[in-house]
Amino acid sequence: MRADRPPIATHRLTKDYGSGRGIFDLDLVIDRGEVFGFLGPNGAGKTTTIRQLMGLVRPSRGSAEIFGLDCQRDSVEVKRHIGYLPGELPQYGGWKGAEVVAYLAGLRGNVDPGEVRRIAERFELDLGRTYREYSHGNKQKLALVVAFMHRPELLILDEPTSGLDPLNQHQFHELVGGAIARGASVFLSSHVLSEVEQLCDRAGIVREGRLVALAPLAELRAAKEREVEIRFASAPPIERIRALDGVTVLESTGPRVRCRVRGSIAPLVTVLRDAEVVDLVTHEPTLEQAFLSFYSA
Amino acid sequence: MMLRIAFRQGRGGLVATTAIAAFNGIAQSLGYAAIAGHSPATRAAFAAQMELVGRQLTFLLPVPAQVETVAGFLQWRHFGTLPLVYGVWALLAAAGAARGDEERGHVEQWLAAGLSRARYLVSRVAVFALLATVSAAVTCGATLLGTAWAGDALPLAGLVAQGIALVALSVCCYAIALVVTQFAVTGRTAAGIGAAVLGALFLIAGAARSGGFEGVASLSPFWQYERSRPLITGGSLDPTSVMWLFGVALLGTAGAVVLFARRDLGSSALPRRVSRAAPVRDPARRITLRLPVIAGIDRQATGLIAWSIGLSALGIFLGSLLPTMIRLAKEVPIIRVIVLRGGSGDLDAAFVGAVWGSSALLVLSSYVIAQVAAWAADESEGRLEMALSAPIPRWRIVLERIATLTVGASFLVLVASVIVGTATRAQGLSVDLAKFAAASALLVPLVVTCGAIGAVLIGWRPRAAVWLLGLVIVASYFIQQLAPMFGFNDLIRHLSLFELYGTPLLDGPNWRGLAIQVAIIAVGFGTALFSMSRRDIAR
Repeated sequence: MRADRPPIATHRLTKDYGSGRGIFDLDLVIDRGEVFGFLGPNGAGKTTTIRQLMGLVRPSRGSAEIFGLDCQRDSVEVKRHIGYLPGELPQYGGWKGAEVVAYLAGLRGNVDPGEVRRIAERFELDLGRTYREYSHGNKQKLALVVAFMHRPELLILDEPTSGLDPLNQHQFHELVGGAIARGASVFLSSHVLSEVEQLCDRAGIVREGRLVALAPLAELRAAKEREVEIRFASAPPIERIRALDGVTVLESTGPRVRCRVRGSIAPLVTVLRDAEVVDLVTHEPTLEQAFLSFYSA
Repeated sequence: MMLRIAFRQGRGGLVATTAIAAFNGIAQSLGYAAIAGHSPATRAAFAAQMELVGRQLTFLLPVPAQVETVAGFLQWRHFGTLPLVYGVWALLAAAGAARGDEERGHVEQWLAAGLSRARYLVSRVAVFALLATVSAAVTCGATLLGTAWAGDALPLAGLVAQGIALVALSVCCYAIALVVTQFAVTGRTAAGIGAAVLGALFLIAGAARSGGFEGVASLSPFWQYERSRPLITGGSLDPTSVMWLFGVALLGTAGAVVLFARRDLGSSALPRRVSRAAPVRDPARRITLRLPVIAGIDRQATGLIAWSIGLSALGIFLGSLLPTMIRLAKEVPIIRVIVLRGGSGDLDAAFVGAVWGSSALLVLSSYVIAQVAAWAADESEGRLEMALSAPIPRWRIVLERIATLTVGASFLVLVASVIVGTATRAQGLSVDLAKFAAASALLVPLVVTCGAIGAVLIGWRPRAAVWLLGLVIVASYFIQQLAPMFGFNDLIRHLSLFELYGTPLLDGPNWRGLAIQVAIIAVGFGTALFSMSRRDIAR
């Protein structure tokens, strides 16, 4: 492992399954201490990319490096530094959670049982139950225990909050925060924009196997457009709304106004404070809309 | 819709069972003509010998009658063996329908789609009945073809009646297994409990033929099946027993429906103890889970104990029949020819070798198939992906599999051979202990050879590996068993993997065979190592 090399660097990384399926010519560099969100709809190529980084799937062409080590050639050394959570959970049938952890810790070596205990307590996960008895959420928690138990320098997490309730999602965010605080980097895939917004420093969007956008989250937030529908009790203050910076009125019919807001919604809320608002609905943009508005800005 | 799904789920079992049963029908028909000849005199002589054999084998087969005709022989030897084949199919199909599909979450989805529990089970029973009918029809057709090919004939009406009895037995076994599996949680336990119950019912029928368990014999579906003997002159389909079999099938289905309706999905019909233990937060302390190879043995500890009990029980059971078989062989020349494979030598050693060697090989081969199925499941269920997310080289997975298989097979052979060896001596058979130990030890390389073939198949086609290996093993078994009867030439005999084992109790180790096994192991695992290092790990 070379300390001066980025946690993840891919060069024209390609896996071609035919018929346009796979991932194509992916160029990506993740910085140390960064939380990177890899976004895209189902089947976009997120899991294929992750499996190539883990050395499970061989690229058709191009290469991927982790801390300067080739993901295929040096895959054993690479995995010493990685904590991995697969997108599709494995099945362990009648094994107890404690046995699954012990077995995988035995394969990995150097796992502190105290760390296992801390993560299991954080998620209130009972390792004494059989895997078969676990709900989907508990299986996800067990997978998180396995991914974090050896305090890895890089976490590769495929849809990490799938099946977790909001309380446990919060616990997961804190766990990621703790990992970042000790200098780790995180690469996570998701199709939930709000989750990426909360956690990530930078995000890339992949569609039909190609990276179509890459942006820091701070800029993305500033450029984010959302649609707002407001119904007033009386005549709307339409001119004051029109005068706001970053607000475009799309439709104004009677007491109803529909507008698009770029960036913060605070100026609009200030204007509305003086009016009698009956109803207010905001529509979150889709991932692609968010990125498109970012690029059009 | 449900019927179509159930049909799709049952296709594999239908094809496998029908192939085995149809092949058996053709082989027995041709074998009869080849051994018994065509003249009344040779057939009468053959029948006299077979009736002697048959009376001593009533533990396994029905009592023979009219063996001087092909119809009588097939009634005894072919349709007397099929209950085992169809019973195993019914058991596996019921365990899969009642538990396997539930484990995989399919049942939950179907019930969520508005299907009632009763309708689900009834449609599974109906589809199995349909599949069993198709299978029985093809088997009877193949048997008819086999006899025609051998220049004999069978009564068509009798054959149809025999098919009906076979379907009745299959559906009855399926319904019984369906009830029993409601008390299990996993498909594997369901198959284990079902096998124990159906096995006990089979043994009751066997014991009743020799005068034991007569009071309860009528409770066995296998005993009821044997009431019908429509192929022989003067015999017929017994309507009472067929009604009994269908009646039990109906009752069993109703019982399974009631139990299924009363239990939670994914749980046993037995009341469950509520755990009040404090939550566990630490990893298991068992050191065996953390050590290479030993972790693999730890994973299958319960299974290994079950396999060794099964193999030992089979060895003891067959051992108990040996004195009678040896006495018979002295009276019936054809058996001596088959067991000594045309040669001469120590009859005790030949019999122990033939019975222990071939049955142990078959059971151990099944153990290899189970291991290869577990390797395939490791990949399809994501455990291999998780193991490879740890810093271990891919070759370690292959080496651990070989080592685990070798250790597991050695354990099975050691336990079973000690028990069988002791039982054999207790029977008063004179078998050289050193030769017996060597013959038992030589089973291990053959198991590893089968494992090497399985490892290659897993690297090539993980999803088809189990079926392909099963095919290789079944073909090897049949070639070995049928070669003496049909006088197969060396080329065909050498196609059987089991031929590599030879007859070590009789002739000493087969060094040439052992060398070939070592070569197959080296090439097989070398190929598996190469394939594992190059291929994508996918689910």
